[in-house]
Amino acid sequence: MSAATPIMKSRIRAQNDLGGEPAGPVDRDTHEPTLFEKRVDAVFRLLVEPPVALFTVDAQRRVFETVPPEVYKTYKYYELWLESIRLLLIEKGVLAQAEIDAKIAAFERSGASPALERSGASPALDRAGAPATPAAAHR
Amino acid sequence: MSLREGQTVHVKTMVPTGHCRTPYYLRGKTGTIEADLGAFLNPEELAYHKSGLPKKILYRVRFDQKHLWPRYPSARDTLVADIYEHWLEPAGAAPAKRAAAKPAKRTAARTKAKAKRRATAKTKPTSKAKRTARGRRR
Amino acid sequence: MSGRDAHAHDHDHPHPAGRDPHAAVEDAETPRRFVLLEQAIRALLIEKGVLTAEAIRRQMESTDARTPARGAQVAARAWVDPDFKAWLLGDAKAAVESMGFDISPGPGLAAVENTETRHHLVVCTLCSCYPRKLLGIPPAWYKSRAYRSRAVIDPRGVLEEFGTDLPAATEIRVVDSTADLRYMVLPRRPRGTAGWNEAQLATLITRDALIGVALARDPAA
Repeated sequence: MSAATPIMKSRIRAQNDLGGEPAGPVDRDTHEPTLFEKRVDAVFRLLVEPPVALFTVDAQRRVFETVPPEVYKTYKYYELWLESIRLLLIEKGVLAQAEIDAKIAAFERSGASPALERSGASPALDRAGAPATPAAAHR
Repeated sequence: MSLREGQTVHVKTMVPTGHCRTPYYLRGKTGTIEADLGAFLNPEELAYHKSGLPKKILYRVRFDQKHLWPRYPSARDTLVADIYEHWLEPAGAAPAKRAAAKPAKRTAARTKAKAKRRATAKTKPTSKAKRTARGRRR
Repeated sequence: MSGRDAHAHDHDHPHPAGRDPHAAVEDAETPRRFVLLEQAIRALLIEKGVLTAEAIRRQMESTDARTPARGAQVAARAWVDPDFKAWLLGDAKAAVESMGFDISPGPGLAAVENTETRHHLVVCTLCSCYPRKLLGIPPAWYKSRAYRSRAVIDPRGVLEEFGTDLPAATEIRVVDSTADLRYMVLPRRPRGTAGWNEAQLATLITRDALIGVALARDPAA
């Protein structure tokens, strides 16, 4: 196995295959999901379940196995989920990176920001499923 | 292939070519079928937007922790995992690779005695009487 | 995928009604590029008719409604009703749905019973499989590298970190959710609860007990 290249090694044991690996104490974090996390979760659920069923949970897991190691190790949990959604939507031909980039640029120009999102003041985000008020968001 | 509850199975030491749900720490290990969980679409195919057909039978397999981990302290603890049929083979089959070491069949003393007999054996055949006596002593 | 180093709670508590004091702080922690990416993807999917804003809103609300309290109700019923318990252990999905908890579509559900001689602990070493349709979003620690790595090789050590000590004679059985079933633990019914009704019993059953890192609460404690 010492002659195995990095690609071969990842085939033998994928980066998500953690059972038995050395690790420190469990950080018993139980933070309540944030609005960002809930949105990513909701979009993912809708994309994998009927009637949309654009891709499967299995496809998402396969993406986790094959993203660059530094992505897998450093991205927070729902940041990785969002990345998997991006990759799978592109893979299925539903979105193109160019139009994602254009949309992000448009939001940056129009001033969409996390602060605006929390206040619900951005009409574009309101249409896109943001709860109207912070109280509803943190119910 | 149909496996029964209570049957001893090996987890194959295949190298997956893509998506796989058989953890690395179970490959090459020996366990017991706890339950037949029915047939499911194959996740290794679903992961690539394929149909997942034909369905594969999923088994719950039980392992002794002491068998899985070299320094596990308790002989009582167990682990169960859900493994697809194409990753399992009945224990009677010759496994590609087995992780568990076989216990020694000979004690060290007997091994040493055999080596000494071989070292002192005459090159010419002995008389029949001596051969018979030696046979009776064994 | 490490959990955040946020306020650690030494036991689970029900979803707080009203504003969550943690959320505002952690929203600010999500890097702007991810927030913008999420907004862009969501907006594009709506523009293209793949999803609707209403469907996203409904999905968030239904996920919010899925909490460990549902699992506690299921476990409490199994404690008082032996027929229901047998049903739960044999066909968890049907038993749970009979209580009005819709857990479709999605993977199957199985319940494993903790007894005096055997204690189950659930993990998903390969990702973070969890009975989300019943219990909601799993806790951050369940999804962490440390839990996924160590639960299988050092379950007793992990249990100790959660403050759970079991007798050496108890068999600890780790359940690795590797495939299409999700697992909930039916915890042991604590002593001193004779005559309690289901609602009272449910208050003793925490999310941690349904995962198997803790026992149900002791009414005497």
